[in-house]
Formats: sequence, structure tokens, C-alpha cells
Amino acid sequence: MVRRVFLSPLTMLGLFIVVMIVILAIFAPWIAPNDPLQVNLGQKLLPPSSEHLFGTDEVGRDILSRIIFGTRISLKIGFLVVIIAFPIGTILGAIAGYAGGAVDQVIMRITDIFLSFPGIILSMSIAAALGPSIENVLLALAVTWWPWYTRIVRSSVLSIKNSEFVESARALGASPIRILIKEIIPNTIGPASIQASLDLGFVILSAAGLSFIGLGAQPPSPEWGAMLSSSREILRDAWWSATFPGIAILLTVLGFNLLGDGLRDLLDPKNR
Amino acid sequence: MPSSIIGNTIKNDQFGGKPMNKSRLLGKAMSLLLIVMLALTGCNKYNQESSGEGNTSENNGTNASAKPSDPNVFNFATNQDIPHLDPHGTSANTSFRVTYMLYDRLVTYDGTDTEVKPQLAEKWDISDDGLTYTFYLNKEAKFHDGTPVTAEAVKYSFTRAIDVGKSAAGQFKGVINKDSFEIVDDHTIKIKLEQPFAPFIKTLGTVFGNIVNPKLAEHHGDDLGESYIADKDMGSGPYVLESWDRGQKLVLKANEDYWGTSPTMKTVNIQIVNEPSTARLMLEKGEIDLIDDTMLSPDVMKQMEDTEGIEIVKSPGYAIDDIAINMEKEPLDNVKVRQALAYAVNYDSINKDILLDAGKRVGGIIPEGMFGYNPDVKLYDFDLEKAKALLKEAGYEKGFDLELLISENNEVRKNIAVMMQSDLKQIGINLNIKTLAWPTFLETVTSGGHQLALASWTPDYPDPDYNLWYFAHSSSKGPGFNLAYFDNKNVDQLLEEGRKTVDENRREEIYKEIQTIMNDEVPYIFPSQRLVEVAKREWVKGFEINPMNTWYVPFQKITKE
Repeated sequence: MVRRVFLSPLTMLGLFIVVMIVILAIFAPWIAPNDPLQVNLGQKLLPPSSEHLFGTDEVGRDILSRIIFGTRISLKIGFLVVIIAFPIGTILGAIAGYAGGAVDQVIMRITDIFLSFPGIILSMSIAAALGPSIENVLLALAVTWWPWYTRIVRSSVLSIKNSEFVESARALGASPIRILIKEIIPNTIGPASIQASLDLGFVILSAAGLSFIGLGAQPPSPEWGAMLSSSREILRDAWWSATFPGIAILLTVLGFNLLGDGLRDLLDPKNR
Repeated sequence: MPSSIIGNTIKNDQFGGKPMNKSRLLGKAMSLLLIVMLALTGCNKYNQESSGEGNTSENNGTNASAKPSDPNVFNFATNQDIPHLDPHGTSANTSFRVTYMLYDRLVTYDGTDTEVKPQLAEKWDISDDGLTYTFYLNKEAKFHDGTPVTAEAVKYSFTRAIDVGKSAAGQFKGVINKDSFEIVDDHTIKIKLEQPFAPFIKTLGTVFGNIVNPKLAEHHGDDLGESYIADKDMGSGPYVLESWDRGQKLVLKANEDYWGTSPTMKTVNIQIVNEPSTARLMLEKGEIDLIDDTMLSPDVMKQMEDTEGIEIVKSPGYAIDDIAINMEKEPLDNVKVRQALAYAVNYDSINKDILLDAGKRVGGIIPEGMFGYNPDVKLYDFDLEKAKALLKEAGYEKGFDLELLISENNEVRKNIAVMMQSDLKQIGINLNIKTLAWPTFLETVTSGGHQLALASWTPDYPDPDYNLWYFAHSSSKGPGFNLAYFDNKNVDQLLEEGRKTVDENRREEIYKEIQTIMNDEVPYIFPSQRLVEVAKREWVKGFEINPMNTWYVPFQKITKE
């Protein structure tokens, strides 16, 4: 197992990017050269130089420092959304798959309702209704993300529900809840957790998208999508103001995807 | 959008259960890149397409800066959609811009002049008591369907404006009512005021005084014809409505039978271009002759100054940025706190660094250059020490949280807000900025749901009563635009006296005194009086900016050469 991780250079690249981003997020205050919120209008829209490696934005803030602090916001959203959506989706999927019948029907039809909307549209309407803030974006994305886990877990549960170890647990007189917790969920969580690692990148991308259209982070928050949004008017005269936040988003999403794909190769039993 | 598409593909792969090998991984990385590139080229493609369909220029790009391809077609770009064209029911500047061309008024504003000039009314008399106005109509004037503009039409138009009860009616409330009109003959009409109202004649030159063809009465239905006229024109103005593709383009055509001087620009295209950077590109290519003044930020204007063939026009304006302080909310009910806020705004930096000198300091809501302006009010300078001391006196040494509302898609307001946030932090005030879409913003501030709100104000007619009644009279709280919820008996009395007074000197005294009181009480902070900045092609001649009606583009006077 371990050898395969090391053998895949793309996975290694993904891992490297993710580790770097996590380090940047944790040590942001020590790594960032400047205060990301310090307005300095005398130094607005300066091109990249040795003093400001990534240049300055429309109110003279250091873009490099803002991007470094932005990792905190993006990672926070990515992880929290998955942490909220994952258990909800898993538990509902396990119940639906194990119980079957009417319970299954009700849970899966509700899931279908959520899945029938394009995810970004649904998050947009929720975020718009709740009012613009990063917390509401988090909530909106969590609401649109859980149904995927429900489906994955349910299909896995269906495939192992009648396997011998479940049968034997049942024969020993274990209660359905015990069977769910002890036997079924541990054996279905693999595919769902691979999905979760892949989703991290897309959650971050969606959050940046929502902030870009003004539904997410509020000024002066150094959120990457919001930084892109406020620089689009001056893009032609100050290329650095949009380019670096854009690269940050690209690298982060790419990193999580490469890592997620690598994990899938590694963990998904079907791939062996 | 791409995010959801990619997301779904991956999830489907999951169900397919196919092993994902390295080449597919690489493929995915490539597809991500592809999407980024598609997004980028997408923008270019749009511009090329729009230049291809350009109904004005067959061959642009090579000789874009030299000569206009068609000297009789004018192209105007705005990013604000036009809601509807009811001459008495709209309050949107983008609609005003159109209805001011489709309709005539008894009097009008022309060029940079803020005093009215005759239009449908050749002349008028005002009785000595200031109560009766007699208007003599031009006998040549006729509506677009050929019927003459009569006293009956004037009476019908004002009666309808009052009945519709929307934007226009507010102007006339307490001044005239449906019984104020007396038709003397076909071309003479008397209007009797309920009480003397000095600026009455000035209100008639605003869009709210549009004269509409009384044939509209045949289409009244149960909404006074509002839905009927929303996309039609029943006026007598220099332009007629040619076509309107909602959200895309509105086309005006010169009225060849106009009773006044027929315009040079035979066709006016008002194009909705959502992205400011696209509009800028179109201007540089010569596909657009003029861009809406509110669209481009000062930073972009500055970058465009050196572009060949493009001219940035700067002209005095009556627009004032204001921060309304909701006095009904703690701790803003304390005058010392409000004064501390006034000392904590870096006015010079706003005007110099954010507006790039397209604005200057002003002491109140009456702009410099307008009747009633008080040059002697004490300006609050940027002084954080004083602000701190005042907060201490008020008992808020430890500071507090405040929320500032701004509307979206406005770079200047966002930057002012971010700067204030940075400065207020130094006196212990934690300022949260909340960005709302314009309709939500309006709804929130007019119902008092804000603490601080940053907006701006431009008068529709140049009289201090207009600005001050809205901003300071207690009856204007909330929906009337007294967003500070300022309630001062003394100011109320002075405002009411000012309306009735005919003597100009006394009126000036009154309005100056109100400004002094407001300066001490600080219901509002005024960061800047703005210059109007417009980006246009150099070949556009005869374009003048009126300091109050900044939305007003005099299409009928413009030429291209």
C-alpha cells in the first residue's frame, strides 16, 4: 500500500501542494510579510517588487499576505462543509440502505430532490436568502453536498447488507443499531471518504465562486474569490491583482483533486 | 458553473466503478486547465461577436481612433437595466435618461444650466403671492401622433402623475392637487398652489413633469395605463421609441417632425453592457461613443486617460456621498459618538487616493455651487486623537461593534468602507461591512435596519429644500430618505418656513442655519462632493454634463465629427 503512494508522482504532487497549503494556513501570521488588512492608499496597485512580491491591491494591501491568510478561509470552508455533510449523508445513506422499504423511499426521494437542482444554483439561492456572509456560504454548501454521500453509502450498504458477516451478527442477536454502527458503516465508509477528499477541492472552488458573485466573504476578508471579484475591473492595468488569487485557487483545487484520486487508487477495494 | 459540472462527472465515475488510471488523472488535470482557458477565451469571443454584429462600424480595430463610421448613430453603454418607461412611475435613472428624450415638459434643463428654460411653455407668469402660475403653451408643439399639445394634456399629465402615486407624486405632495388646474383656453393653463412653494417652477423641469398624450386615458385599464405605457412612448419629445429588446438594447429614433430642432443623431442605441471592462474595450474599439458615468471606477478612468481617441470629461457635480448614521440605534444616539465618527473619517485620503481628485470635501448635503450652500460650516478633520477623546467622554472608551451597509458592484464605496474600517479599528470601533444588492439595501435602510449606510445623493432640481427636506425633516424618516432618522423640532420648523418663504435672502439664511445645526448634530457624515467623470470618444461633440441630472445625456444636441 505504502509503496503505491510513493510510486504515483501525481499523488505526491497533490500531497505536497496540500501539505504546503495547510502549513501556510497554520503559520500564516508568521509567514505573511504584512498585515493582510492594513490599508495603505499611498501604495495602491503597485506591481510585484521585492517589497511586495505579488504587488498590492486597490487599497494598497499586500496581495501575498492576503493570499496566505486566504488559505485559512478556504481550508476552513472546505473542511467544515465536508465535516458537516459527511456524517449526515453517511448516516442517512446507511439507514436508507439497511432499513429499505418506506424509510428508504422517503430518504432517497428527499435526496433526489436535492440532487435534481444544479448544486451551485441551490447554494446560490440559499446563500442569497440568508444574506451574504462566509458562514452562510458554509451552510449553503453543506446543504447541497450531503446527498452525494447518502447515495454512495446507500449503494455500498445494499451490496453488503446480506453478506455473511452481517448475517452472522444478526444471528447472534445484535440489534439493528449495533449492526449499523459496528458492521455496516465501518465497511462502507471507504468510498464515501474518498469522495470527501475529492470534494474538498470543489467545495473550496464553489465557495470562491459564491464570494466572487458577492454572496460570500465580506470586505476586508482576504477570500480568494472576493479578491478576484474586486480586481476584475482593473485586470488589464493591474494583472497581478487577479492572477495570483486565481493561481492560488487553481493550485488548491488541483492539489486536493490529485490527492483524492491517489487515495481512490489506494483505498477503493474495487480498484485492486 | 464549471465546478458543478466537474463535480458531477467525478461522482458518476464513482458509480461506474472503473479504475481511474494515471492517464485519466492527467486528462482530468488537463480538462481543468481547458476549462480555465475556455473561460478566458470566452470573454474574447464575446467581444469579437459583439463587434461583428456592430451595427455602427463595419471595419473597426484598424482605424478605430480616427473617424466615427456613422456620424448619425450614437452608441451609449450602461450596466443598469431599464425597468420601464412610465413617465410618472419610474424612479430609475436609466429610465429617466430615456423618458427625458421621449417627452417634453413645460420647462426644461439645458446643458450645464441648473435654471429652467422654456420648453412646451413659451412663457409663464407668477402671481405676486406666489400661488398662481399661468403657462402659455407653444402652439407648434405636437405629440408623436400629430395631435397638438394642449392645456388639457398638461392637466391630464399632472393629474395622472398624482393619481399614479409613485415617484412623481412625491414631488407635488402638499404643493398641488387634482383641483389645482384651471384651463383658460387651448394653450393657456393656470396652476394654483396649495401654499406658496418657492422652487415649484424648478420641479416642473424634472422628469416628473413629463407631459403625456391624453390619449393614454383610453388605455387606462385598472392601473392608469401603467402597464400599457411601460414599453411605449406617448410623448412629444425629440426622439421616438424605435425598439426595445429588454436587458439588451433600447433604440431611439429622431422625431423628424419635431416641433423644435430635430436632432442630428438619427439613431441612439442604449446598450446594456454588464461588465465594465467589456464596455471599456468597446469604447476603445469605437463601438461605443459614451459610457454611463457610474460604470467605471476612478482607477479605470485614470488608466484610460492616455488612450488615443478617448477623452475623460470631468465636470462639476451636485452628487454627494453620505454616510447615514441611524440615530435611533445605540450608541449612535449619543452626539459625542457621532462626532467621534466624523473625526475618524480620512476625508483627504478618500478624495485624493480613492477618488483620485474627482471629489472634494463638503460640509453638508447642499453642494458647493448650489443656492443655499453654506461655506462657513466647520469641517471635521481627520483626527483620531479627538475621536478617541470624544468616545471616552461618551463613556465608550472600550469601543464597540458597528455595521456599515454598502450596495454591491460599487468599487469606490467598497474602498471607502474598507478604509474606514481600518481607521476605526484604531479608536476601538470594530466596523463590519455588509454588502447588499441594491433592492435589499434600499429596503433595509428605509425600514431602519441599518446602523451606518453609505450611499450618495443627487438632487433632481437645484433647491436646498429638496435635499434638506429629504435628509432632515422628521416626516421623511425611512422611506422619505431621512436615513439618519434625524428628528429635530427646530430644523422641522425652519424647513417648513423655508418652503413658504418667497424672499430669497431669508430662504438662504434658513438653509444655512439648518446646515449649521446638522453639522453640530452629525446625523450624516459627508465624505465627498463628486465631480462627474465620463469616458467618451473624442469625436463626440456638444456633450455637456448637468451637475444635478448626471444621468442626463443630451442626445438631441450631440454631434459626431
